[in-house]
Amino acid sequence: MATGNDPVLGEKAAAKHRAVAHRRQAHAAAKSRTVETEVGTSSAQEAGAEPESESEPEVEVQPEPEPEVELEPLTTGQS
Amino acid sequence: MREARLEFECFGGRAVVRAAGDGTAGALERARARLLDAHCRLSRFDHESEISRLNRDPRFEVPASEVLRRLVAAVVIAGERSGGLVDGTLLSEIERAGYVESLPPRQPAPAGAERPPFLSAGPSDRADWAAVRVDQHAGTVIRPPGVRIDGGGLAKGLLADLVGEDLSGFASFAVDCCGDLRLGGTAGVERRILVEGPDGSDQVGKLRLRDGAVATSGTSRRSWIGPEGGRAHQIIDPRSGRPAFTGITQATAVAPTALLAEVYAKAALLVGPGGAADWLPYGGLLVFDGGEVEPVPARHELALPAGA
Repeated sequence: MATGNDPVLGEKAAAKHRAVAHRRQAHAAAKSRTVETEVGTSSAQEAGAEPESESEPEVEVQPEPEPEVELEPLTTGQS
Repeated sequence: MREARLEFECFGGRAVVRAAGDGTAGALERARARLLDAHCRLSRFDHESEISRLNRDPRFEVPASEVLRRLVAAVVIAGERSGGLVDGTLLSEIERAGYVESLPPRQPAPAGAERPPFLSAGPSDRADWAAVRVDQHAGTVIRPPGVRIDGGGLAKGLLADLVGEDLSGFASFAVDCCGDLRLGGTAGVERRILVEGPDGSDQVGKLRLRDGAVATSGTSRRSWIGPEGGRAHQIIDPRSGRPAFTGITQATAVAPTALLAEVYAKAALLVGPGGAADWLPYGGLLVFDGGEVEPVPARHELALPAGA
């Protein structure tokens, strides 16, 4: 069949999509690990553990704000 | 991020192409030219179009342009993926139902016309689609003379994909071929997709998608009174050769490509309420004959219905 690897007919596009999804999951997992670290520190403090040094300045870690981008919505319907 | 936009008449309806980034003006003009060229080649309502000439050609093997070969390949893919439910070789049946000339896309459903009892559609015993193939090396389409190809919704999905591939290097892009959508872009920005209701006036649901495709198939628009006096439309049950009435009025499907979305939406509508959700692996939305709306969650990650 001459259509087997046509990128617009399914297989290649689906593979590409899976690769993108995998990269996004890996990225999300990396972000998730960072958050877990912060939560662990916070939990230890709540449980009464002494901070290593009281003179050490507090550093607030805040996530980088993601740019707000709004694209024009699309409409699907019967053609 | 600001998108450039170009809107024009095509495929008997409205096409819109959008892209953001450098060089969009030229790219959108090329997209329009590609879509209009495909429209001229693939319209069955033009007696001299390439597809009309193919459909009456007495030879087994017929030279064909790239876009026509891709459409014929899409017909084969649709048949294979749907087990023959989505059959692009039912042109004679569509004409017999009364669809012999172009209809306005917003034609209202005929009031008071009777319809047969609901019945799940099935594949044709004839399965002409399986006798069709493409020889890419020779640049030809091969099929038994008399087997006629109907592009229909498959052509719209296919062209949304082809133009979407052309625009995929932009930060964002979207191709809308009369409601068959292909979207994405290097910036990975999420976009809202509104789902029109069966009469085209109300919004019955919405989806969110960064990269992929959406298509909707339905029986309520482009419908008419058939030759036997009952309600008729363009979605044919391959098994009976007549317009399908399954209990689903409209199906919307999400998929990696617009061609697959078109196949999934049509298969969901044809199989009816008992199995429609099985045909929407990436999610979608169903509208039943009584007007009820059912969002179908994705079983594979691509998009999640945001609710009706």
